[in-house]
Amino acid sequence: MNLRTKVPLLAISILLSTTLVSGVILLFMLRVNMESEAKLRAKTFLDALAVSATEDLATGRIDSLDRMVTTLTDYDLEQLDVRFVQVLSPERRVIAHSKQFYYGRVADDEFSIEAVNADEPILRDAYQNKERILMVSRPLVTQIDDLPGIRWGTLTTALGLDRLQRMMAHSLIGIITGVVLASILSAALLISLLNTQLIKPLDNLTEAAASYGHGNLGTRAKIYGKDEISMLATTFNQMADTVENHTRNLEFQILERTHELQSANKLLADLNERLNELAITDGLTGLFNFRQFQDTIRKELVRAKRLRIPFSLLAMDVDFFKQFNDTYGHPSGDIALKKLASVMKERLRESDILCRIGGEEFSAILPGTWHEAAIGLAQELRMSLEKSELINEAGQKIPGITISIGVATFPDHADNVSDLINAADSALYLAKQRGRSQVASAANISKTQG
Amino acid sequence: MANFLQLNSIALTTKIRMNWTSLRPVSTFVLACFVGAAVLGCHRPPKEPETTITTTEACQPGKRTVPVLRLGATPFGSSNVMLSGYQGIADYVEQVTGIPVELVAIDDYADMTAQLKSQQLEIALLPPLEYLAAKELMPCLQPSLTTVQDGQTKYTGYLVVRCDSGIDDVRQLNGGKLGLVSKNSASGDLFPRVRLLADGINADLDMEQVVYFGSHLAVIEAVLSKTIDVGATFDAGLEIARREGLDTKALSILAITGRIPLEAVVIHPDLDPAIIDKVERAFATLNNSTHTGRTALGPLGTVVGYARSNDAFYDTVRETLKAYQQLSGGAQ
Repeated sequence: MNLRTKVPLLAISILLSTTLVSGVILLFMLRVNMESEAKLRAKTFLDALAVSATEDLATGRIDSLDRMVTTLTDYDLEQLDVRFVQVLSPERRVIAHSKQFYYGRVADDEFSIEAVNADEPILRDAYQNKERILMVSRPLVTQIDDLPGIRWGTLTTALGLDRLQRMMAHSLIGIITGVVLASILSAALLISLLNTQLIKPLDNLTEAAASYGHGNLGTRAKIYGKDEISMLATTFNQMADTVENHTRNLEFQILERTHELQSANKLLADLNERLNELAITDGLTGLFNFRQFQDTIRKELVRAKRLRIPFSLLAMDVDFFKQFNDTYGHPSGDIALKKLASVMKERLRESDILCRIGGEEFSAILPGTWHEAAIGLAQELRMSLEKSELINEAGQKIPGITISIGVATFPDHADNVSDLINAADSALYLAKQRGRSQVASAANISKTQG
Repeated sequence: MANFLQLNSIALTTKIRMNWTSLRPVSTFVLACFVGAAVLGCHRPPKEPETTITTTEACQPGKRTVPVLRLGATPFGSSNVMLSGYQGIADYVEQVTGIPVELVAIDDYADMTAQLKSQQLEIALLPPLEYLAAKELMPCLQPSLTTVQDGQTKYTGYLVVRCDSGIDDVRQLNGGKLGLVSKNSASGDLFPRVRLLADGINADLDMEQVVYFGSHLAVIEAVLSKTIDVGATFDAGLEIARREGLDTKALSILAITGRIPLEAVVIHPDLDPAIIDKVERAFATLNNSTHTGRTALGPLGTVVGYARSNDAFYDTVRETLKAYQQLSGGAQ
């Protein structure tokens, strides 16, 4: 059960209880008051009758007494009905009665016995023919010079309380109707007040909190007034403002840090890439280094075997490079090497892999290249290099360099890496032996060695 | 005759309801006055009605003082019973007046009147007819007080028949047998005779038989035993008969003969007024509202006290007697 149901129910319960209790108390007070009033009227009524009745008895005017009690039957005594009035003798004989046939009879009912023996007026509640009646008695006593005189008899009457009870019933209906109407109106007013002053602001606050909880940091509660709930809403809004500011600052800082991190990562990636390049390339020529050469040739051999395709290996070495360095200096040597790399890159295919594996030693892996094609390509490289010009640091033209090339091919000359490298090296050696600046085939080595 | 009829009309209608509807506004006004008076604080018991003893010019205040007050009363049994029955009263009067009281039992009322007249008695208790007789002899005699029996200063005389007699009208009694108590009895002789005369029946001439039984109880027994057709008695007589075990439910009240004043207390008029006053006060304060009064009156049964009275209170009896004498030619 939610607050929207609980609070009005509680309020209505309290309201109804309070109103009902008030109604019951009011009714009780009304009843007590009316009964007290009825008894007072009854007593006053008998006091008044007693004067005349005693006078009649003392003077023997029973006729007068008869007339009086007869005319009192059903006398309207302000909501009280006089059911009968009778005068009893000390021996309880009926001296006068508002109804015929009772004269001379001895009243032997309990009330008459009590009344005749009592020295004071008595009042008793009783029921007669299902009607609630008030039995009242009063001794009829004269007085002689402040001394008690003769007790002539006792005046008794029965007063019907039906009309009084009906009036009380009407009052009760009126009170209940009033209570119910007042309760309904009060409940409606209370519910309306609770709805506008409590439930609605709380709902608003709850919705705002829920929305805020779902991440809508811009959500704010409506402020309805200056009560506690409004103060709570204001506090909530202040808290939301604070949290939003913190969050925005945090997001900005995170963004900043993210940017910084991204930059750092990019730099790191660049550096890694560069490092990687440095790890597998030669710093002077930009060609792959020996480690990359070894890695590549192994992979190429695996690929060639799997695809059953050939590949060739060129082992290249600059001729008389020591003398060149000694003659033109190392910077010129470096220029020569760079030139060599540039020319070979230019002449080789994109799929070919060119590596610097030593000071003036180079290798080229030629995937999918048969041996004759490799010999031809090697010749082109050698000739292109011979035709190229070298300019030193000072911008002076210096003599070019030549290279010797040994060519070996898988699977013609070897079926593993080391044999293939050895075959290419042997062919290179052969080219060196034959006078340098030439291309030698691993096939020739076999013939020569064979 | 008209006076007689008027008298009997009052008697007959005592308990016969009239249509008082037309009087209701008046009675309502009267009641309102009563209520108003009560509200204004009239809660004290009313004073007993003042009785002015009319002293004629011939009746000068007496001067006689006595050492002893002699109280005469007729016995209602043996003299001893009477003496013990009235002793309480005598003691109380003696206590209040400070004068010794001597009880004198007198069997005959005529004798009592004679003794009173001859100053042999100072106080006497006289039934209505006897009082009137004494008044004839002693014009200055006054009934200072009247006995109050069971709350009333008068009693009601009846003509009773058996329920199974088939008699429901006085006129049916013509030719029947009438039972009376005794001569000189108000309810037991005079009033029933007058009642019969009201319906045109002269008891002595028109009834088959008129019998004096000596007591109310005997009359009632005679009616129940069908010895007579109708009997004369009074309200307390019926109650006594009921208490004696007689089947009073078998009786029907055919007519009310009248409402008759009870015994008068008379004090000799030649006594010193101070003594008379003391005696009157003694009787007036002797009642059932005090323990002393109840003790003193106890032996007298339903007597509850003595109310101040006057001669006019006995006019009913006087006029009835006069009417009877006129109508019956002085039979009483």
